[in-house]
Amino acid sequence: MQNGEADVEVLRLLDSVGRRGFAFAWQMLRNHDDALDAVQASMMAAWRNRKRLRPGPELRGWFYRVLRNRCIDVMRSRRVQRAAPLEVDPPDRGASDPAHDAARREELDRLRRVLRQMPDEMREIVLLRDFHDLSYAEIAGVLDIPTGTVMSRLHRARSTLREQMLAKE
Amino acid sequence: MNACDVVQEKLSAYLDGELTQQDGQKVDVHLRECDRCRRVFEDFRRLRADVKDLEYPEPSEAEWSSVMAGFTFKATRGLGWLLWIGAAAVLVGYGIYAFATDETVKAFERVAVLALLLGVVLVFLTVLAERLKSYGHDKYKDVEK
Repeated sequence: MQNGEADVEVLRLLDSVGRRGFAFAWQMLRNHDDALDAVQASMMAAWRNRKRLRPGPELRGWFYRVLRNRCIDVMRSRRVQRAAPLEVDPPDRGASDPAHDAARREELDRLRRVLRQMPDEMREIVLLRDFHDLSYAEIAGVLDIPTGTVMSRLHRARSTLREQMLAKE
Repeated sequence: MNACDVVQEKLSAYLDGELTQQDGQKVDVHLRECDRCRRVFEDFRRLRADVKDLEYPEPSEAEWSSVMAGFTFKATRGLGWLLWIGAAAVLVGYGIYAFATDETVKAFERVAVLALLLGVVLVFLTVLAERLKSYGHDKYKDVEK
């Protein structure tokens, strides 16, 4: 692949990974501007390292790892509290069945609240797997832990999430 | 630890298709026979779908366009530099050739001007080589200012 084509491919990937990465940064920082800054800086870092990153899962895993480290730095330097109650209402997608939509929204709000109250380590791994759709190998790279630990930690996190959701029903 | 405990520890990885084929088959067989474990598995599956459906704030299109514009500029900047340097090299080379072969200028004047130019080029190349060498050893070059 020519350099120009490879760069376009990296740009395309960064566009989609960056948009999703913004949600990850927001989940950690709970602040729009901080999240955007962290994503932009991580995209720049990915761009600088594009020659040694294969487009695809490798770039995505690397990007999430850099972004996570940057968010941790921001939290340390600005003393951002992860559990700061700065929740923003989800965007209104329009109501086809108002009663059903209201019930569904209530259900997801409860899930969001339970997730927010979980330990950081558990919330993070559930979101990386189920919201961001990262594989176990990618999560292992992002969190710098063995794949076996991803498996056991995710199991504990999901069990805890289930128990807390059932307890609140 | 009974059979259900053993299977439930593997349910999460089973859901994600991360078990070996052998372990996956064991869980599969157990789930067909055990209502309790099947309920746990269904809860896990429902929770995974719900987490996927969560909505979080997104950057506005204007913000995102601004972020991506920075990369488009960077992608085209390299090509711009290449064109600029190539065209400048051709023009300067042609100018030097035309001057060096211009019979209307005295020979010693041509030698003096060419020596002057050569000196400038040598100084530039020396500085450039030093900068490149020190950049190659700079472990902080990727650190953001």
